Amino acid sequence: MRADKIRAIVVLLVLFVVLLFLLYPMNQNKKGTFGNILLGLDLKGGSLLEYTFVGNVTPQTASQVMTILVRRLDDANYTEANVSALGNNGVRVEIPGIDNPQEAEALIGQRAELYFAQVLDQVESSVKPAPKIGLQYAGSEWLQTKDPSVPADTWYLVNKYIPVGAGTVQLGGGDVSDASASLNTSSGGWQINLSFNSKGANAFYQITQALVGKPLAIVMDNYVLSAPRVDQAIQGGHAQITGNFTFKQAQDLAALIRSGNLPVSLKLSEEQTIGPTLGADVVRTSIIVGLIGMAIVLAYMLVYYGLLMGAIADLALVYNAIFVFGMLSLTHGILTLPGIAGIILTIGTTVDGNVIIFERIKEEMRTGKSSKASITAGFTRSTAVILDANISTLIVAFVLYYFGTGSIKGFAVTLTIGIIGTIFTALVFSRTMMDLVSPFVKNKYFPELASNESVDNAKKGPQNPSPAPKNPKNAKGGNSR
Amino acid sequence: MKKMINFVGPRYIFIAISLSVIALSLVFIFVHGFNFGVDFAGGTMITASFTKTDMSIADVRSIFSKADPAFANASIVKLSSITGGGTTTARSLFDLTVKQFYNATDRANLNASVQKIASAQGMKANFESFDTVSGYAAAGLRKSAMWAAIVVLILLLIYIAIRFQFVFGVGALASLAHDLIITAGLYSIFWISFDSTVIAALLTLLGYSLNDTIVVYSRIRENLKKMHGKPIDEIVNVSINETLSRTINTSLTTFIVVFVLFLFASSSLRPFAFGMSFGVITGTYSSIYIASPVLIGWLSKRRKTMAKK
Repeated sequence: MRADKIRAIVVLLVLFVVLLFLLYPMNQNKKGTFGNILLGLDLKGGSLLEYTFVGNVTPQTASQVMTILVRRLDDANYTEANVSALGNNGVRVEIPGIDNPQEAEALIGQRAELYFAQVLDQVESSVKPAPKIGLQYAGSEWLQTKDPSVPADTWYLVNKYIPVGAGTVQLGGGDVSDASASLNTSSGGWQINLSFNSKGANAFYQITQALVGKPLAIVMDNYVLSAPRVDQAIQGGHAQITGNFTFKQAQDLAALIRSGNLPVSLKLSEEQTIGPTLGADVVRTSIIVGLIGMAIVLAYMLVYYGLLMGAIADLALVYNAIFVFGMLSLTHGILTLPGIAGIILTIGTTVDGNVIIFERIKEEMRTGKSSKASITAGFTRSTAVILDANISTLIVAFVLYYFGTGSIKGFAVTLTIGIIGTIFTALVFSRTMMDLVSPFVKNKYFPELASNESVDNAKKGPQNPSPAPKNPKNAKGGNSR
Repeated sequence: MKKMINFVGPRYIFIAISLSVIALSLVFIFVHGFNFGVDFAGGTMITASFTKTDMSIADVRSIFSKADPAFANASIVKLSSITGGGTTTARSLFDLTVKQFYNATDRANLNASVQKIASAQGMKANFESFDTVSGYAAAGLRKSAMWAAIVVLILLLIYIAIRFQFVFGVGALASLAHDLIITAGLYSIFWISFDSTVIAALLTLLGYSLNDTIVVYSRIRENLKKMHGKPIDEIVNVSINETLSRTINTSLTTFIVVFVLFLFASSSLRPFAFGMSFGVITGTYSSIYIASPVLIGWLSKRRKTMAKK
């Protein structure tokens, strides 16, 4: 009894949480169709940005730019964006479901050239200060800052050739092996964590050793992101950029640093809103067709398994659908055609889960068990097969997520969510429902039995189980009432 | 007691049929190749404007297909309308993508004939831009697809070997390869457009077929214990029969969903829906006729060698 109750509570709790995700959109900037679910370029359209390269570019550089942009957009959660080359002259970027392309523009247009620099001077000025003359200022330049913790008109005189011992050391974004955003626990706000490769770690140690007590500027695209004071030499190859960033800023900066700097500058040449690439008519018919297909499946289950068990199978489908859409909403998923393919597969596996269980219950009933015992045995004996079948599919989905890009990733995401939902629906939801209705389920192979009675051996012997049908096809129709 | 269908008896006939279809598919794939869509092969993209603001995609398609039949299958996207650009009249704007590549002469001819057809319908057409586009789906996909396939293979083999036996893993992978090669072969034989949505269909097929195979395998695993001492082919046949009503119900319901899509979907979704529909058929077939028979030979041989000891 206790296990039943726990299952029922978990089922209701999951439903409640998932509905919450679905009904309360959390990101105000992106308005999804359901909750936070956005429809992809193929289904809904989005923003189109075209860039031209500044200067002449070889095909190799052009493809390098594309690779970096794809990585950047993926990293900054603009998944499902399309990047294509316009000959050797520029690139075309299509991003689904965004209202303000400015954010994306900042992400694409930046060269993301990152370096560390010594700070030689710092002034507040409304105009750019005059360059300083002198041997110690060779190679230095005045740069503005984007750090909100210092006055906006602060200028830093920085030099990327940092004197260490008799020579100089340089450290740039090329020596960064990873970057991620995290919460700054000491001062609040978000920060960016950098990890260096071994060359970078060594350089960073030398630089921080030489600059103890002095500020070290972190410069990106000719702006000082922040210029913290070095307290001590730092070993181990990790650094933080603390600039009092918002989460989005920190995440985007980390994505920019991770994906590397562009070998060429880009100029925005066109900005447009585009309609669905599959065509609005295609999308409409597909949705109608999908609903028709679903309706047929729901009806089939009712006809084949009878009103009681059929209804449970149908409810399981609806439950899993709510689960999938709720989780997609939580993860700010973008739904594209491949994603819908993943959901169709999920419909298949959800139906399958129930079919496996129901068929097993029928088999158990044929052996003369009471319907209650048959239900329990049916679930216990189907657990292994349901887990094995779904975990194998889950393995495929994980690998696709790891190796795939764009819409393949989208497919992997909906499939993963759907499979987890399938396992839960089959083993927990359907179980709860079946337990609930078990008093009303009759063992139709032994109709004289009550729901908790079973054929004991004494009864079974002389009677010879003639009610068992010769052909499983005769088992059609409601066995549940 | 229950009537059994003899699935494993004629297994060699079905294996022979499958092998010849696989061979035919491979020949077609390597000799004939695929009819790659724009997203793989690249092509030409035209941004065209019309001085009529309520143009539909179908209107644009009809104008362009009169000029060049290749546009009957073009992907057409409506952009937001624009004003300005030298004129004050509002114009509707469309992006058209086709697989063809155009040289300067063809391009001028196309432009001229589109303008002529448009002016016959009382509006002005203009090509705002004319670009050669790369296949954006191709670059990353080819490289990662190979690695993904290798890793999936190894992980599945390990998982199935742990949960079942090594030979079950081999059988499952053989049936997956069977399904993928034959489906891909059909795209080549019937020259069905192979675009990135087809990749999604093939991946779905993979998931479906695997699911189906594991369900039959699971029953074989159970019956190997329960029917200890019975011949392997009988155990396999009983297992297939016992799971048959489940197989029919699941396959039929999944097939209904994707086949309705295939019947009613518009032409750009047909290649996708085809792969999904055929995938259910071959995925079901291969669990019964490929994945299961593979076990029979292997398991019986091992039982014999164990008996000798």
